[in-house]
Amino acid sequence: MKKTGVNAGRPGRDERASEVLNAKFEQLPQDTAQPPRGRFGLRVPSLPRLLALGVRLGRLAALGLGLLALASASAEQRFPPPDFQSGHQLPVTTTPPARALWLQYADVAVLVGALALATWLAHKRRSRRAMLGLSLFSLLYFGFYRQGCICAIGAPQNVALALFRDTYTVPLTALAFFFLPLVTALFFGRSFCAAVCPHGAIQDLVLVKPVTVPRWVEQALGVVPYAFLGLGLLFAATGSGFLICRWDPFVPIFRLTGGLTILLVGAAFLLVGLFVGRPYCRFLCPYGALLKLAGKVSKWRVRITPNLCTQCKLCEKACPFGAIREPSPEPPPGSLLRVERRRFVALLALLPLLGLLGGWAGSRFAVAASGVNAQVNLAERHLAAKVGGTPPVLTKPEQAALARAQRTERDLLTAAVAARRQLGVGGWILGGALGLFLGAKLLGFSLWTRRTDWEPDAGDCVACARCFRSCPQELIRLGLTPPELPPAAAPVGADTAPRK
Amino acid sequence: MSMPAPVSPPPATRPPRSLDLARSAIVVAGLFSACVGVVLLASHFRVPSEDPVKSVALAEAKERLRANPTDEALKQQIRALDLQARQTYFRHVRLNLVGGWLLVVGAGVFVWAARELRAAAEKPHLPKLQPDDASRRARVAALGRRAVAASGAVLLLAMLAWSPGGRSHLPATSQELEKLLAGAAPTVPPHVAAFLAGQMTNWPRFRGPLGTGVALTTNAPLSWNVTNGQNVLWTAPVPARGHSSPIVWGDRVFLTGGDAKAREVMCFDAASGALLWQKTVPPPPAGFAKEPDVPEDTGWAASTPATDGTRVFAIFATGELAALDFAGNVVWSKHLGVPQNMYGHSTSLLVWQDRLIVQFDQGDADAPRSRLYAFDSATGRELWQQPRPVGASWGTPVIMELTNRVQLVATGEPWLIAYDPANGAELWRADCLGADLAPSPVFERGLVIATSPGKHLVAVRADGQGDVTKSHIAWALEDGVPDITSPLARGDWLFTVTTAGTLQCAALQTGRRVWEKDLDMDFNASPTLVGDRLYLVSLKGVSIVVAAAGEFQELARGHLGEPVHASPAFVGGRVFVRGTKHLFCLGEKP
Repeated sequence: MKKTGVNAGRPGRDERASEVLNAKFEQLPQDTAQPPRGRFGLRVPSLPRLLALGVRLGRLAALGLGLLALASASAEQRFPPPDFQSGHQLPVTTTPPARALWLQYADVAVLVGALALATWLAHKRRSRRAMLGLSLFSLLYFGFYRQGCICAIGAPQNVALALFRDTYTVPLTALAFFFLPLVTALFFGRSFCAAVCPHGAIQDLVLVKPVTVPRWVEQALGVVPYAFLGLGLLFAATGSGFLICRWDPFVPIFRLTGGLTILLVGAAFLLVGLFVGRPYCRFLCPYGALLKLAGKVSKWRVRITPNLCTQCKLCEKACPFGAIREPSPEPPPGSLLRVERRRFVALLALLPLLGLLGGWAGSRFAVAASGVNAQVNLAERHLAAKVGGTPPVLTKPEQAALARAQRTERDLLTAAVAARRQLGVGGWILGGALGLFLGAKLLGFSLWTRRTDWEPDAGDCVACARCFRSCPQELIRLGLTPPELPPAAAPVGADTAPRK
Repeated sequence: MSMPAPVSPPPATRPPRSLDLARSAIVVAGLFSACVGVVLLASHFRVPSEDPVKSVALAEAKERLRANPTDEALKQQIRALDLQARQTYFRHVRLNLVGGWLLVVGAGVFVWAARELRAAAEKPHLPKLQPDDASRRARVAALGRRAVAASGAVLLLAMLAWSPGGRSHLPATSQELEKLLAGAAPTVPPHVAAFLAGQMTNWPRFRGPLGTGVALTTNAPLSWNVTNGQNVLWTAPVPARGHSSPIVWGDRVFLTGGDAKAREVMCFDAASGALLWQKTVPPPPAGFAKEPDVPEDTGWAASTPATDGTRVFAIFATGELAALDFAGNVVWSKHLGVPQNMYGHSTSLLVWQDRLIVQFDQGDADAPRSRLYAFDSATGRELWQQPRPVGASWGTPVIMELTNRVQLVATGEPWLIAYDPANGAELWRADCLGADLAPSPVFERGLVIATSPGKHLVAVRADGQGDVTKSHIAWALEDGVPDITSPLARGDWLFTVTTAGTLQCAALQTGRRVWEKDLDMDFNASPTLVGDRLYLVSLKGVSIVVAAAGEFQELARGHLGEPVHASPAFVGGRVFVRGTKHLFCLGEKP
């Protein structure tokens, strides 16, 4: 797990920032004569108050930037000093201490608190505004303060590595970040995605004008998170690296540093996220794939209506993430059922073949992609240099690892062949599982689920609380609408005199 | 019941000031964020922010410094490069940090303003009347099914089509790996094959093919006399002075010599003694920071060269190292820096398989700067180097094989250390040596015999691992310890001759002295064993041949007529001896 040595021991700055920001939310004026409210009932403050808020935030930002500039000075200790042949003794330097253990446990405590709060906000309070506030807090705490690590999205890799490598012990915090959101999803749905995950929070906050993604596109792209999860677990379990962390598009944004490519990818996700709701969560997040499976069997589920569904359809476009499903109270007619039955049986028969095909393809892919593994990569370079007669260009320290590590050729090649064999076996498992999963997904299209109300799909719903206010029953519950609807206005020219 | 009041639409209102603010904010924030983004991108591409750790220029400069560790100008260059790289890098980091935060704030304001405008412009959703149509749902399901199937097909094709971008050389199975490691796949380069084939029948390094003074030829004349030409095949003047010993390969004899002006490699025809070529080794490109101080007694060319049958390798007291082909052309050269060595560098070179081994000891035991190098013999590329925890020394390492473990054994105060010549890994070490280590180690019957002048001869079992000081020292003999010549061990016997001329024979397994004889002459050249005869050449140029047995028996004497410091070479029934002025080829005349 990466340590944030630069920011170690500086909780006060961000605590103060959180306090100020939360205080500002509480201090927003309750003006009476208002311009049209925002969609979620947010009050738009008057100009003088807005300017005052801006000045205060500006002062805070300047203070924060100043502290950050000081923090960068400590980063100079990270680099090794040059070799001094003259016998010059370098002065003893100090390095920032590792993050205190109690702070790591504090992260877990914050996670538990945030999960509990998100669950309560989604199921009981049913408040979008509060959920938004929690999202902002999560973005600031888990995102910018903790710099995206530790995070639940990468935690499955830690667990996979610990399961298959006896030289690695998974930290308790990583275990907690892996299990707690999953357990919560098993009971209450995807509360983690609602307002706790900083990745979801940042995408949620940048969503401006949601565009409906066609359902078939969603279904096609919905396969990708599972493939990504499988790939991440495979490479983690074989000690080839944490791909999910390496390809995380938002952590470099949280850290404001990183390779240009990944930063641009993150920016691209956010730009797309202006219009497409949570693109990373829906079409790439590997942990979201697990939460989706857990959410599908959750005990308590988020409902759009607080009580009964009047089938008014006002909520059908309320979800920017395409999670709302229309009612399907009656089964399909017999003719369609017969077709679906035959298709189901055929797909069931094909299921083992899909598994085998997927396993074979997965094995070939894993072996071809084995260069990700450091030992395989080094062995390939070494052999290529031997065959080509030219030594490898040593531009990076890891490329000189063979000479410096004093490993014999036999040791290296044996380890590399073993690593590639492991990847081949893992590829079979990954590909087979993906094949079976695809088959199961195709089988699912032949099944009919009885649904009487307009409700969110338990697996797809991220419990963001956006849809509640689209339901008239919710407005009645909040007292924003009278229980009886006013009568329609009379048409122009109609005789409105009371009839005797 | 009274009718409720009809609902009338609200009166039209002017756009509020907050919306105007949002509109302004979206433009300002958008432009601001775009400008900051462009500045950051421009900075990224304009300034190559080299991470000091990954800097290519710095890494290359450091590699050059390893080859020339005393190059002061290069050190300054490295410091300047390093400082520049760090300054550039951290300036870039600070710019990115500040720019990143500005971008976050600007983008945040932009998104907030966009959301406000969107919220104000949003119209309530009015659902369309749509019949509950089972066939519509079936069509949607069919589309979804096809989309998922297509997605799966794309995934499958992507997995199958993935190519690592180049043929994999890694064996697929353990059997193929064993085959590869056994040498079935890659072939031994021709020059290495030639060396392996010819090393035992030539004299490729100091003290012969084994480096222990044991000649693998059994045929050599017992005596010679330069005055009357007895058994003298030819005599050739040596144009450059030096104390290095001759090496022989095929019909070539190589010597090195030199002075402050130039260091040279000389090649003689082994049949006629004609000087075929004499080549000056190229000095370092930047010259010497200061004039090397080389003691007169040692001279500039005390280290014996080595050959692999294709190239001859030479090193000098200046730290210049060169490889020349048999035509006299310089193939590659390096400068390891002028060694900090009070008596002058005299450790000789040796070749093992495809690499040249260079023991470059210098400095003090308390502040060692010594290193052991392995260079590719064909290209000079450094294969590995090992720092040594020893001060300056003058002995030459030997390569021995014991129970399939090849060991490179080297002496240096206070350690006798064995290395793996394949990768430089240390195998074992013993703390058993003192200062002024001029004699080279030898090995016989699983024992390594090292000489610590003024202290003892010590025998260490060579089958250990790690620090074997307390467990593997077989014996130590304090008598008859030479200070310049190297011992000779063969069979049951260990022979030493001191500088003052005391010849001693000891039992190899126990270190017990068996006999000693005062030869009444001084020796710098190390003894050589030919068959069952021990050849010794004194400083005066008088050679003595004795029986290599459990009792002293002088067999013959020879006279060269000029001082001899170097050890002779024995190849194909001939003896090559370097005097201070001439190179002699001795053998029975046809």
